Amino acid sequence: MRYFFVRFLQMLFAVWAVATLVFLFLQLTGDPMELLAPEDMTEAQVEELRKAYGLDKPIHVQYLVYMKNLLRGDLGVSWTSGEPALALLAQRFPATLKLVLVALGIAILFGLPGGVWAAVRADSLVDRALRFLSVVGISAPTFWIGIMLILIFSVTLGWLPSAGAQSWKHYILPGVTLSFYRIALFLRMIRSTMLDVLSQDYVRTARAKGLPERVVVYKHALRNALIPFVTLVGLQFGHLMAGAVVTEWIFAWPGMNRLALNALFTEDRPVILAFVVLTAAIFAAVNFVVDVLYGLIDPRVRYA
Amino acid sequence: MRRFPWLTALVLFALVLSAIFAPWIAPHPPLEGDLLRQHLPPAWLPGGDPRFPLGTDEQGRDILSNILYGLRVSLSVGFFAVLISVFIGVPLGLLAGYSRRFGEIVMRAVDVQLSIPTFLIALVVLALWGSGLLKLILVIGIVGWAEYARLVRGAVLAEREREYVLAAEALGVPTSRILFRHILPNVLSVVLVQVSVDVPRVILLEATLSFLGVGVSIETPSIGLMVKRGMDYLFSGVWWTTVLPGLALMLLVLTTNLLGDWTRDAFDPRRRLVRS
Amino acid sequence: MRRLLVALLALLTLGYAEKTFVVAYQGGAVTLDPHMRNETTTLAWQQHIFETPFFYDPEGRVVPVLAEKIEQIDENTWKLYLKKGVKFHDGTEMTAEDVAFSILRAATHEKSQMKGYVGKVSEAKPLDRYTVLIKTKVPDPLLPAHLDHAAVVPKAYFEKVGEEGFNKHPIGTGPYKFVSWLNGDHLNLEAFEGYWGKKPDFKRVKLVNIPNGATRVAALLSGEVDIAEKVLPQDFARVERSGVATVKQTPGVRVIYIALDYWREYGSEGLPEGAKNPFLDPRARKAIYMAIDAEAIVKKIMGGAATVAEQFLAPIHEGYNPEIKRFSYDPKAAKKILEDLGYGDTNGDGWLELPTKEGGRVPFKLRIDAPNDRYLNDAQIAQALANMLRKIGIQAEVNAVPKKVFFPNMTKGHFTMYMAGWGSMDSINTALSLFHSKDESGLYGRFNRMRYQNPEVDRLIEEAARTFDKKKREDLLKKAMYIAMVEDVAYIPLHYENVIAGVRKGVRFTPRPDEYLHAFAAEKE
Repeated sequence: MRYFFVRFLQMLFAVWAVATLVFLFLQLTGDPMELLAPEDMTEAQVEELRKAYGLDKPIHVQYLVYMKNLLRGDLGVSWTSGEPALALLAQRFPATLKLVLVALGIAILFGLPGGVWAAVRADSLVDRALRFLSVVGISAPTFWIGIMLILIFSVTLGWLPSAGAQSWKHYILPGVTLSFYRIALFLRMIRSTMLDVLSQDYVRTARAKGLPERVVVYKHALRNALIPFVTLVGLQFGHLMAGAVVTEWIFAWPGMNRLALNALFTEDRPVILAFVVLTAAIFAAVNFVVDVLYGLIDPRVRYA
Repeated sequence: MRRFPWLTALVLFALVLSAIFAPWIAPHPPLEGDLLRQHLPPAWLPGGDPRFPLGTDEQGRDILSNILYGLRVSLSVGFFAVLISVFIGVPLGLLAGYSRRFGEIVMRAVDVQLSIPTFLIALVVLALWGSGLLKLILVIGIVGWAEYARLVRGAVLAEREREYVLAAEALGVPTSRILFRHILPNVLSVVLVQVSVDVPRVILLEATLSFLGVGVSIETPSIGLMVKRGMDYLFSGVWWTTVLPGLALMLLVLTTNLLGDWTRDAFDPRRRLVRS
Repeated sequence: MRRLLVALLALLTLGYAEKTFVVAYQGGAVTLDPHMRNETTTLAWQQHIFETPFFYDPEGRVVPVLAEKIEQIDENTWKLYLKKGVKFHDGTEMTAEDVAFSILRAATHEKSQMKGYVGKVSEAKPLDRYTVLIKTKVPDPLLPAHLDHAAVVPKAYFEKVGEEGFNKHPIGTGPYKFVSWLNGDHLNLEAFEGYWGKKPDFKRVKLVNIPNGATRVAALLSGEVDIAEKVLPQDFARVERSGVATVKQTPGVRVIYIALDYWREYGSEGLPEGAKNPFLDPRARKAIYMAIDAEAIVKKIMGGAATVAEQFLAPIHEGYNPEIKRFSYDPKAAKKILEDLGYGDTNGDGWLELPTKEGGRVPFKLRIDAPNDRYLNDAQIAQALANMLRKIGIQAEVNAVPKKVFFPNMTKGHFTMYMAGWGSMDSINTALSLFHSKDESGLYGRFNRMRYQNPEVDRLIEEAARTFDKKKREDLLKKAMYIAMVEDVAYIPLHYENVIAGVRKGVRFTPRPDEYLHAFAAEKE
């Protein structure tokens, strides 16, 4: 119990530290009024605007106000839209979540059986081909994959749309783009853990006892390989939620990553901060859950 | 043990050489353009010009030369950024492995660092601070320290339990000497494996950031930037400005990764155990 | 269960109802509060829902919209008469109360970005149900035009739901009423049955943000989108060939121009260390002007999607002076001028030279600063400018950076030669901001970054800004522009960007010069 509590405190500390560091960093990037004030305002009007955003106060006061609000779950108001930053992100959260789930689904659908197949046929031609393809998968830049898919399926064949999220068809290209790297990752991971497990003593025993190969592979080996696999999927989920920037941008996806990218380009500090803090929180939460699960499965972890 | 992948190494070597010697082998200065030769197709297609083997972009700049210079940028980012990460992360990890209290502090910092994806940190910092090759290398390099510190600390903790270290400690050998003379050489294989994973990752990171327009500045030849610019012409039949640079980059990352796989198999102590 | 079935059926029939009319923009509105952000796309989306007392018509004339007419009582007092029977989307009638409230909110709200237009208003109060009395702090001859940034909202509803509630469900008098939206991404609208003006042809409209130009065109050609703004020149041919859509262009009001350092003799930051700045002399500025082939830029880089600019103001603007013509493109003459001024090549390397303070000579290197994400093909234009200057012996280099780096540096005066754009319907504003000398209070010359100054021009502009008579005002402006553009070569104009839209066959639509794109201006053919 104490272990979980300590891990939980560490998680909160990490999120707080991230929020503080980003806040401080944003102070270093110059006077926001250069961007906030439209070109045709007088100096006096600019000062008035500065006051309205609370930017006339000293930095430590701004920081305290920010932290106080953060504790209440208030992440500030977007400079460009005047809406609460968290609400803006929340509006776009579902679109990102759906895309990420689709991508993970595709990745599991291909990566898992692929990895098993490669492991069972270790060092065969199939294995080598799959292994090579998976290295290609982790070597291709995501943005380029996205553009190639558009070039083939939208421009040349005209089968699939390349912008927006109006129908199920719109999910295909961005989903595949995002899943590409993960298919390769999952495949490699499943293959190597399966190989590890298949060389363990108990599997050898099972084989020696004359159990059918299918049972050995699926019942013993795969089941054991699934625990680290689920962990990996969990971590990839965290990564994708905050890492779909490129894909959302290329496919004009109405998700929160594109919102964050826009906020970066317009220097909408409250939205940037909110996005980073939210990402850190998602990450920390995923890590925490993984730790807890491991702790439950393997009590030794708690004392390590 | 796996055979050394000669073909892969040869291709990678050729790519690295042509990147290093780009100023001498590139047929044109990368930024020299002329609007009159805008969007020439590759030389083997009708309308192509043999002086521009892979065609030209919207400013009439030579694609091949830009790819060569772009690979040069990719490689320098991959090399120098990882070097910075190693130089920060390894000493911190060593110390953290040896001193319990310092180790705690370092691990908390590692936690904080790893609670946001590297990509996001680099994106935020570069978008707000402005882009540029040097800044990019610095940011990616500094952000990458945590993984090294963590791995090295773990390896040190494991090594410390070994007899030779215990013996040295009992003999009163100074801590710094034990760390650098005895432990460091033994954790180097861990670092090497991580470097082999990191270099291709960082190369892709540079390309992605440049593609989003926050990486290197617009006057630097970069694969990411080429693809970004090419995207505007995607629907007008000009495919060579996006497809070819991407292919070149993929070849570079692919060979680096394949060589990295071999390194991992050869140097990762755990893998060696499994295999034997 | 039955209720569910009915609901489902209703949904189905809705689905079969008339197809939604979709307009794709390069950006998206970031707020639906009409007094907050002064930015073209945000305002364009809002203008479907809200209207203002006056607005510009597509020919650039100020016309009454919600206003019937306006009367001037004295220099600082106006009487605004409103149209009768105008309904808000909730069915209530628009009255002087609402209009007074809206003008004051735009003029005084702490976060309002409309103060550049209506900030001079000190008081607005209803005289009767359809008349508003407006007082200004200082005389503003262009008040009616400036009311184009005072969108009218219903006071009672606004006060009932508050700012946040209003943002969630905005109500105005416009041809379309709000249905739903995703901030920055899309806005669903439905035609307002009780609209006072001409009812729009399309009942259901969706405005969407598709930032990438190539993707926007793809959506147009695949039929997902009915109008796509800012089609890239390289896609024109493809759109025309497709047979499903055409490209429509209108000369815009945004001029792309070059400015040169007008105030530092030494230490100008785009020149070599210690070199003398040649551009204090109008002849040197003219030489640069003559070295630039604006026609080639328009043809080759803009793909014809721009119009060569004869002068800073566009023909649609008040104060456009037809007597002002471009200096002809003549690189030989340009080089000769610079040589005659003493910048010739003395060491025989083929490049012009600049004298230094110490009496030495250095190569004529020149950095051209430009944004790379602000105007159509901005970085490419800068690159082409550099090539043109290299032809007359200036070692020009381009420093193209994102707008968020460019504009702060421009404000701080870090440039010797920069390229930027300016788009405003309001000529007095243009003259005061860019042609009047800079004063410390920041009232005049706020965008006169290179500190152009001529007391005569200052006087003419100040007088124009005070003049209520349109004809007289125009004459004063024309005179000021002639001195600034021809005698002083204050700026080098390149071209006016065209406003471009891809329009699906079967739809009649022409873009407006001020870049506002309105779905209600589209008609069925």
